[in-house]
Amino acid sequence: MSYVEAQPLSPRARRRRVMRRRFLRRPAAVGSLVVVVSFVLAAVFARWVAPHPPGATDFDAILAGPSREHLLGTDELGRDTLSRIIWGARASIQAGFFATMLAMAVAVPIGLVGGYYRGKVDTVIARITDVLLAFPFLILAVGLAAILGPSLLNATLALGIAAVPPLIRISRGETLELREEDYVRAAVANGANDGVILGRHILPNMTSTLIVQATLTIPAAIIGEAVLSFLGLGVQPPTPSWGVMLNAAQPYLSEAPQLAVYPGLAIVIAALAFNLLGDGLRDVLDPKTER
Amino acid sequence: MNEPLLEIEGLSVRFETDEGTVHAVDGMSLALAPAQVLGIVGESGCGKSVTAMSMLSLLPSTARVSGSVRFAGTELLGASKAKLRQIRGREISFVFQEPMTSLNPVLRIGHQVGEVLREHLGLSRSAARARTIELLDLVHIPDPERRVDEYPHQLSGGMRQRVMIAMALACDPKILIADEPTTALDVTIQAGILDLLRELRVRLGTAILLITHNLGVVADIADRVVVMYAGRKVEEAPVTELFAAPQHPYTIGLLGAIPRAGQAHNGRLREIPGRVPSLSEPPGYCAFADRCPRADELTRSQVPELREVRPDHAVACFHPGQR
Repeated sequence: MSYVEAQPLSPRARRRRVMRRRFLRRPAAVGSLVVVVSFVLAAVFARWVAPHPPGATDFDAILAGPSREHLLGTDELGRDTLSRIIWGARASIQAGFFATMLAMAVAVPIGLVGGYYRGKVDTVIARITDVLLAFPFLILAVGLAAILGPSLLNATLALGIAAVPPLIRISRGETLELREEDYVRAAVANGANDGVILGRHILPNMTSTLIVQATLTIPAAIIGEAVLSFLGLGVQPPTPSWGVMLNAAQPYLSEAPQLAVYPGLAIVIAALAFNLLGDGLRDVLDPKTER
Repeated sequence: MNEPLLEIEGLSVRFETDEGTVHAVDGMSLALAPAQVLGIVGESGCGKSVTAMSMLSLLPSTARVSGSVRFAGTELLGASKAKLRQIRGREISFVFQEPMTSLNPVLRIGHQVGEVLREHLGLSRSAARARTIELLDLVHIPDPERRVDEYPHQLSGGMRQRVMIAMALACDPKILIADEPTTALDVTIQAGILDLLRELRVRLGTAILLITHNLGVVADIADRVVVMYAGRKVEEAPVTELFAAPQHPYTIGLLGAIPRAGQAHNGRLREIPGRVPSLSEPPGYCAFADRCPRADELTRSQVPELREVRPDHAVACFHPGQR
C-alpha cells in the first residue's frame, strides 16, 4: 500500500494558501482584481497598448463613430478616444495611488501617536479631525487644489491631504482599541519601548484595516482627480485625463454623446472595481468571515 | 530568612473615578526572598493584581499609588520610565492570566520571544532565535525548532502559556510575577504549568509571586501565603502553617469552600455569607465584619491591625483562632 506523504508547509505559506482560496471563492473580488490589474497595466504600458498617440489628430475622422481604425470613435480634433482613455488612466491611477499613499503616510503616524499617548495632544488631533470631517472630501479637495494651482501634481496633493482626516480617525480608533489588548499590556510589562509597541504590536495589527481603507480611498481619489480635471483644477488639456475628456465633450453632447459616455464609463468601472476589490479583501482578511 | 529581594511597604492604590475614589489597595506590605514562591490569595477584586501591576507602574494613569516598593534596594515607585523599562522583563517579569490573547496574533512565536532578548540583551537576530529555541525547550514545548516559526493561533492555550513563561524568563529575571497563570487553563494543563513553575524555581532560582484565587494552586507550589481581602492583607503565614492553623475567619471560610474528593460535606460546600464590600467607601472598621460570624462591637468600630499571633503567622483580626 502506498500513501502520499503530506508536504510540510511553512505556516506563512499555509496562511497564504488559505487566503488565496478564500479570495478565489469570491467571483466579484476576482473580477474586480482582473479589472484593476488591467487598468494599472494599461496605464503603465500606455505607450504600447494604445493604438494611437494621445495627441495624434486624424482630420479625416472628426467626431467619428466607432470604426476599425478608431474602436471608440474620435473627438472634435480627430483624436482616438480609446487611446485617450488609456492614456487618461495614467492620470487617474497616478492620482489614486499617490494621493492614497500620501494620505496614509500623514494620517497613520498621527493616528498612532494620538491614540496611543492620549492626553491633550490627542484631544487636539481628534477635534481638528472632526472639524475637517465636516467638509465633504471633494469640497476640501477642490478648495485645496484651487489654492495650490492647477496641475496633476497639485491635484494629487490636494486629494491626498483631503483624504487625511478620515484616515486619522480610523487609525486613531484602531490604536485606541489595540492598545488595550493583552499582548500590548504584556509587551509593556516585558519592557518594550514605545517604538516597538507602536511599530511591531499596534501597526501590524491594523494593516488589514488599512489595506481595505486604501482600496476605498483610491477610487475616491480617482473620482476626485476626474472632478478636479473636469473643473480645470487638475490635468490641463491637451494632456488626456478622464475629467478633461468629459469637460471637452460638453459642447458636443447632442452630436457625439459617446465622447462623454466612454470616459464616464471608464471612471465608473475603475472606481467600482477598486471598491469591490476592497470589499473582497475585507472579507478575506477578516478572520471572522465564514467562507 | 535572607535579605528580601522585593519589599513592599504601606502600598496604597486609589483610582479616581466618576463615582468617587476607589480604594483598591490599602496599606499593603509584603516581602519576597530570592527563590521564594509567595502566593497572594483572595477573591476577585480584592486588589491582588493591582498590587502586582502597581509595582512596575503598569496601572492606568487614573491610579494614585503611594507607599514604597523596593527591588534589590532601588525604589520602584516614581522611578523614571527608562529605569522601569530596564527592570520590566529584565529583572521582574509578568505572566498574565489570558494566554489566548496575550500573544500578538501577527507575530511568530520566535519573533515575540526574541524581541525581549534583543531589547534587553542586545542579541542579534540569529542569537535571539537560538536562545528562543532553548527557552521553548526549557518550558517543555515539543519540537521547538518548528514551533519557533509558528503563529500564536497554531498553539493551544497551554502551549501559549508556556510561550508566555518562556518570554518572561527570557532575560533570566530575578522575579516572576504570575497573575492567575493557570486560571484560563483546564486542570491537567494547569498541573503541567505548575510543575513547570516549580521546576524553574529550582533550576533558575527565580523568585515567584503567584497571584491566584485558587488555594489548591497555592498549596501546591507556594512557600508562603498572603491572604488579601478588600485591598488589605488579612493574614500571612508559611503555607503549611496557614493550611494547618488558619486564624482569620475569612481564610477559614476560603478553606471551607474548597471541594475535597472523598470528604463528606453533607452534599454542600460551605460558603462565606454576604458579598465583597464596595471599595469606594472603606467602612472605617473591619471590612469583613458584615460577613463574619465573630463580629462584635469592637469589630464594627475599628480597623484591626496586623499582629503576630503565632510564630511567623500574622493576622488582622480582633478574634483570631481556628474555631
